[in-house]
Amino acid sequence: MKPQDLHDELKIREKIQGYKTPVQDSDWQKMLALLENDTNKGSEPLPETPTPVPGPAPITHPRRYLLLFLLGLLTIGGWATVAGLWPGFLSPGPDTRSVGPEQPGTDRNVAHSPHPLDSARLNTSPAENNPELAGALSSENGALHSTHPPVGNRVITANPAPHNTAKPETSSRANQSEPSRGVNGQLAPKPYNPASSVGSNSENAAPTGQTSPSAAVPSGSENAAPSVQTSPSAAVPSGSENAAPTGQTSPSSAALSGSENAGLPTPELPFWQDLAALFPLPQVKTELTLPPVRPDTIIRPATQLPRKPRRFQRGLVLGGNLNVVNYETGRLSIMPQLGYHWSVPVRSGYRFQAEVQLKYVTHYQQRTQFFYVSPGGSLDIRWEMDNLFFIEMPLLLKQENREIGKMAWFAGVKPAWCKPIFPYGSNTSSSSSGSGLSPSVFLRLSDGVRAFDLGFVFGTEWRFARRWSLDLRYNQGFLDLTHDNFFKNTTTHLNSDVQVTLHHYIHPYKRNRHAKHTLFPEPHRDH
Amino acid sequence: MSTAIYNEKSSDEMLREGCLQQHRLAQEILYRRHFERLMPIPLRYFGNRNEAVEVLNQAFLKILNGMAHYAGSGSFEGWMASIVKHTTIDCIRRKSAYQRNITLGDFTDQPIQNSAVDHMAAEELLGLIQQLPDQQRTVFNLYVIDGYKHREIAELLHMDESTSKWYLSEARRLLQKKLSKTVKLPAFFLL
Repeated sequence: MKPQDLHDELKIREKIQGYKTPVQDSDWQKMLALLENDTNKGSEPLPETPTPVPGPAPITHPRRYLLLFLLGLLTIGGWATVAGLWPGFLSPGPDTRSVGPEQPGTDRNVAHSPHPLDSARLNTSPAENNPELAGALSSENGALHSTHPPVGNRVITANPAPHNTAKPETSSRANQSEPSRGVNGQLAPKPYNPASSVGSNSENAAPTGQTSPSAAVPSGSENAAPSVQTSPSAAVPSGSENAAPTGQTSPSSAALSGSENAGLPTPELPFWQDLAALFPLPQVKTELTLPPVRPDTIIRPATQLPRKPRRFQRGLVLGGNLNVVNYETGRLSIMPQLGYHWSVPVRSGYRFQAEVQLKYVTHYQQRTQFFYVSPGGSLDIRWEMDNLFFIEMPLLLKQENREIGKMAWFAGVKPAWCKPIFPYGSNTSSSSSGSGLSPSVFLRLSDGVRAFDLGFVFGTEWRFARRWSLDLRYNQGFLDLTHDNFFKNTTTHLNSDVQVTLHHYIHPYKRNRHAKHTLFPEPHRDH
Repeated sequence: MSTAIYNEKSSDEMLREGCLQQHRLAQEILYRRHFERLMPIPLRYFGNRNEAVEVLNQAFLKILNGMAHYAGSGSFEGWMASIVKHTTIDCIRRKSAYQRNITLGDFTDQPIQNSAVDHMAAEELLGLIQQLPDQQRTVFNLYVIDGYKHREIAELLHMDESTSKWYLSEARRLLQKKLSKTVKLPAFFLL
């Protein structure tokens, strides 16, 4: 039986399917708006299978952003080109726009970099070009003597006031005529006449050939008229003041106006130099600032990385022990000891250290006597035991000590093997043959001393050098070494002592390494 | 073609021709004529009327744009109803997510058995159906009203068959609960 065939659900189905919803005007208005929108889109009847509309792909957002980015890049590049922000790239030589007469009242010291043209400028000094003039200059006016500073370092000023003084250079080739002389044949100092110097070069270009101090134009360029013409050719570093008979010199030419190289070829400048003159001048560096001279920073000793301690450390132990041989009498034994130690880290800050130490303890002063009587003979044995030899193997847990001058603490157990050495004994036997009495058969001294011992160790270690440390520890033996009545006494002998030892570490640190960034590391020297 | 030829008495065939010529009056008359029959289809699938009207308008747009594809063999109203139904199901499929996987042992499928159905009007029943949750309402409509099988519902709504069964069971249980809450007047009021 299907659920939908059930009676109540069939009723629901019939009622729902028979339900009618009245239409409202707002419904048709919505439909009409939908139809209008669809008509505006130019919708076609629904195709059976949608086919993609061929055509250029619409400009998506990433493409749009890329186009905007390229447009912005082009704009910035164009602006930078026009503004001359790339002088090294666009202009063939130094910035020729550094000084101009359009800023009167300001002095600018232009420090030129050495330029091939400077030598040419020096060679075109008037004294060289005109020996007569040189003689006149040297004889008449000391200021006119060729003591002017080199052209390249010339102080160029736009203030016309200082130019009332005599100008030493008359290096114009166009004015190679002799300077005007006075009655005595001297150069006639002429008062400065701004009207004749500014904006016109008529005096200099005049055929009179007078070389007057007033020819020093306010621009600082001798005989260079500060006209406002912005000719590209005038902006070249040829310093062609007076090269043009009209005396036309662009303001930018004043930058190199210290040179009077009228005959030098004029390189062609790109067209944007014209546009560059339309924009404000950039800030001029008045002094050449070099970084401070310091020692060679490339080849130098490499910085050494801090040494890292080795994981596995080992070394020698050399020291002495103070052993309480007899607690009742307080008899002590001070003897040397030596050994070897190994250690490995077990966790952060702790190491497990194992040692093997050879210890020699004396002054035990134990003696015994045995007398055997048997049929046919007798045996008298006497033993004196004064020295014990120990092989100790302390197993320690030590707080790791890496830094020099720091203390480390340790504790652990100490199994030991004991052996009496250098015994003194005598035996006297009087026996008949076949009695079988022999000291070696009846008695051994090792029977009276415990062979294995166990103790507890704790102490401290002071690492006073990179390879040395001082160890102070106390050993407490748990077992009586003479446990039986072999020596006919009840004295307890424990392997307890205080040890002071020097621990020497063999190569406790890894090889020294240099910093990676060093170009020429210092050769490794094993310290 | 004059607009005067289209009026309330125009046949569906004439209106179809007018719709093919994008005639607004023919479209409006066709819309208003079949609205009351087609509107219950999205109305029982959606909780509110505005949403149902929006879906119906989208379906009508398809009808008007695809009028040329009507072959004329079957019932025109049935053809439009199928478009409205498929559009409604598409909207539901885009709107809802049927990702719940239910095992068959989680529910008991019991049909609605309530005598209150006889006394309720279609609008009241539709209101009760609209109060169901979206998924359960959709499955209930597809199974009970439109006669789909669980396998077909599962394919339509991209879910498991068991999920469809579970939604139907939940819808039935909720509807049974709602029908039981309908006010039953005491017997003396009926006398």
